Amino acid sequence: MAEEILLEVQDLTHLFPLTKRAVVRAVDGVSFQVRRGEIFGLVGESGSGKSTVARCVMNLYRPRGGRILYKGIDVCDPAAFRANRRMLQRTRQMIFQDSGSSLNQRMRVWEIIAEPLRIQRIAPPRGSLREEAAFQMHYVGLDAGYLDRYPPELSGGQRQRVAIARALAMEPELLVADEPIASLDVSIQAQIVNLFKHLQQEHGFSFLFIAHDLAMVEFLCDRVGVMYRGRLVEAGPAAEVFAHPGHPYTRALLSSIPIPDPRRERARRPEIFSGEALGGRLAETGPGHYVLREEG
Amino acid sequence: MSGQFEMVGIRPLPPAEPARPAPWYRGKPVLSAGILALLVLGCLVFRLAPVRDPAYMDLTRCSAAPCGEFLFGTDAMGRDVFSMIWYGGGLSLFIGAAATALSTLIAVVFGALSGCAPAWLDGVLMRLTEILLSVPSLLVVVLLQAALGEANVLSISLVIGLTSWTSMAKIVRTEVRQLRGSEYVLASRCMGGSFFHILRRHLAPNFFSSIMFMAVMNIRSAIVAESTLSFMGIGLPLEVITWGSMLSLSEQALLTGAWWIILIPGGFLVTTLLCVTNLAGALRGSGGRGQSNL
Amino acid sequence: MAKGNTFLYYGKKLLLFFVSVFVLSAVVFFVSRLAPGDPLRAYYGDRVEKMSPQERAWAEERLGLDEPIAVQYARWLGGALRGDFGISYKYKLDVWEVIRSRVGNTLLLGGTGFVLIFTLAPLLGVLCAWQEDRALDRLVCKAGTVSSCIPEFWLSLVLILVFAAGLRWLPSSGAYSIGGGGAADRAVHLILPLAVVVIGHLWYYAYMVRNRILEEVRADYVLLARSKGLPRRRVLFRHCLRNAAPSYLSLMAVSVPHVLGGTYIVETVFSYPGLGTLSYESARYKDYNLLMLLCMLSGILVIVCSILAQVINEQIDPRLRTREAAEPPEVTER
Repeated sequence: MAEEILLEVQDLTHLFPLTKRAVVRAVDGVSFQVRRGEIFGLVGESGSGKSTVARCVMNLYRPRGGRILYKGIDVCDPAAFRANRRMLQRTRQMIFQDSGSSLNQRMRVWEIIAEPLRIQRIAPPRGSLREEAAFQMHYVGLDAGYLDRYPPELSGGQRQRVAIARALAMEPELLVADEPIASLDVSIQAQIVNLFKHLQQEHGFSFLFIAHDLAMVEFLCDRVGVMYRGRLVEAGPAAEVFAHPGHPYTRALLSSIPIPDPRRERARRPEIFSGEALGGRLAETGPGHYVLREEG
Repeated sequence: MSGQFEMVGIRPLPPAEPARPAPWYRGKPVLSAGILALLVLGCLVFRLAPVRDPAYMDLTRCSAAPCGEFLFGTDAMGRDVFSMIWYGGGLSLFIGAAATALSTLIAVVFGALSGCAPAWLDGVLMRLTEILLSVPSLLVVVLLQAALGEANVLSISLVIGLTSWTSMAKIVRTEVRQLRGSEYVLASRCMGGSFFHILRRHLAPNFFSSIMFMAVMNIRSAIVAESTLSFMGIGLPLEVITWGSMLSLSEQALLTGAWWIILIPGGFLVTTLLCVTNLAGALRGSGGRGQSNL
Repeated sequence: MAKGNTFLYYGKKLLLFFVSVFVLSAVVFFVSRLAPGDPLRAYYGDRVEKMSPQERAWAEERLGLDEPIAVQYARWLGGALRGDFGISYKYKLDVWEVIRSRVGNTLLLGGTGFVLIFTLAPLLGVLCAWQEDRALDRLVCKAGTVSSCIPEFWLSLVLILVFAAGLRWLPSSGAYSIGGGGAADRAVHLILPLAVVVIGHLWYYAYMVRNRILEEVRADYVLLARSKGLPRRRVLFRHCLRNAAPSYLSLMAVSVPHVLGGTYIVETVFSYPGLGTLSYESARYKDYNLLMLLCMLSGILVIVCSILAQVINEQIDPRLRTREAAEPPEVTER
């Protein structure tokens, strides 16, 4: 536990107004930590608040409650944010789910990749912005021939690589990826996840990886958090959580993974999580493994 | 540094050879653009070197039919229609352009404001435009004209510009609203892009095409509005020669059977409008509808 | 929707209506009073120029024109709420009387035009969609583009030139012959103005219908229906038309003022005694009370139609109810 904690989310809460009176508690008292150089996976079904957490971390939403400490700076505090704006914008980068809409269709690939450098007025280390873009493209496995293409001319996997290259151009310390593989074909998903693993080993950035595909999370992540209806129901080392799921929702989630072996697949009995009250608080059941438990 | 790692999971593809480019005029309104350029050129040339004074009234030759001396005949006041066409065409086109410039400016500012505003202000602004739309525009024009006094070319451009921005403002607002929430704008904000960076790099290029179509169509409706108003006698007076005010003499022309006073300016008007419409249609681009499933 | 919610929903629309009408009346009132011009001229005609200052003051007091504009507005509003809109300065009659003598003509022209446009437009639109990109469709679209470029007043002039002045088949102006007034006479007078109104609008709405159906035809459910073996005609009429119909209804609602506005210009060219010529006169001669009532009537029509279109849209697409206010379909190109 000696590693430095890069990102600490404390009791994060965010609401969305649904109508004038009703609100949705998209995120409800979520706390977790991401250490320097680790891959933290956040899983849960759609609508469980994962993306909201990511957007709060990136200062796209202002949370209604709780704190987000990044390198010890409370990024939700406007004054602290302003004081460290450049550092925060340079060292945190985000990758969105749908690369079709997160890349401006009217910009060329090299302009997209060089956009953060241009905004932050960073002198490109490799000469021109274009050469920098070409370098980053090679880095994420894209041919330099695509430099002058427009995003709609690329495939989904290629576009996501462009989005990754754009994020990496700033040499970030924290990379937040909001379901980066959900809109891709399964074969491409594997490529991109491999790429992430490889890049993370190269760069050593911390990685908040959000997904609903448990198999990918198990393969990629060091630690995972499981979210359900805006609450974190379980968190711990990936191997531990997948081997000994503590919360009934996690068990239901794990039992829903298909097994690529027909005989065992036939014997698989999906558990059904009835969605009982999510009261209580996290209790430590193993080393670093927390499960939401009823009190008393 | 690039030798320290291997590429993962992708086959390097040679960039595809670009297909042979289609001829440059394919799908472009060459004919319309040519005719319009010719009209504009004609008006300019006549401005600089008038053949005959369009305002000169030859009272001995009122309503003369087209002949060798008067190519398009003369009107009821003995003015040469040929000269008037070229002289008045310049003014008609100028009014169309000036009114459109004004309405586009108002529309972009108002639309962007409404699009970026919080929901309640946006609602108020949009209700306001709806109420403005519900005042019959003919009456607004008449009232504004009265308020501005004797009509001249600039005042009528102002009046038409002030009454024709609402539908374009609505479109700008919808576009801005849509773009504002799009992920690439979010991404740019994450990277620290300022409002103006986002407006210039992301918003403007994206609503530019839809604005262009509307703007060109507005030129068209401004020209129509000017000619209709002048025709009805609430626009420009007879002495200011435009295609519209030339047509305001047509009541008499109907009685005397002087068809050239009606058909010639109208023909020029309709041809211009048709060219402008074709240009606008080409700007919008008609492709990309896809295959019918029926 | 729960019963209470329905009540609330229509209550909101009603509130929107009243607020809009109120703002509209204030805007028109103040703008028309601020514009220069002499309303006494409408009442007294050319005698105005010979009036002494005392006479003028007396006349202004009699017509209530000497008070501040806000007081005049309050008085007008008070009267209007009781249905009393004052008298027309020009005709020296209650404004309702003046309008009553004209409204029938405008409704006849506008109403017939509206019915014709909105029965022919879907027929033409469906025909074009059915024949997409074939000769007929291209011909109709080209003709539509050309006709949309012809200003209504010029089309009227050309028709008069050809059919009234040249061929002498049809009368060139008015709603009926002097002394005459039979149904046949009125119908003959109606032909040319009606032709202009219909030609001026028909293509545009037919084109809208065509594009709406072409959009619909590209949906996946059409592919499914076709692959199930349904014949083209059945898919088009049973599925696509049914889906396109509600948006057509709301298009109709927003187009009422447009068609009516089109008749105003046509009325002036044909000297057709309707509301168009009347409002044109009243604005020129500062016949304030008449102008106000005419503005309010056409404004209320616009507001009612746009709220109606909103309601139709929101009933089709419940998402619009809670999210942003529904936009009625844009009627561009006008």
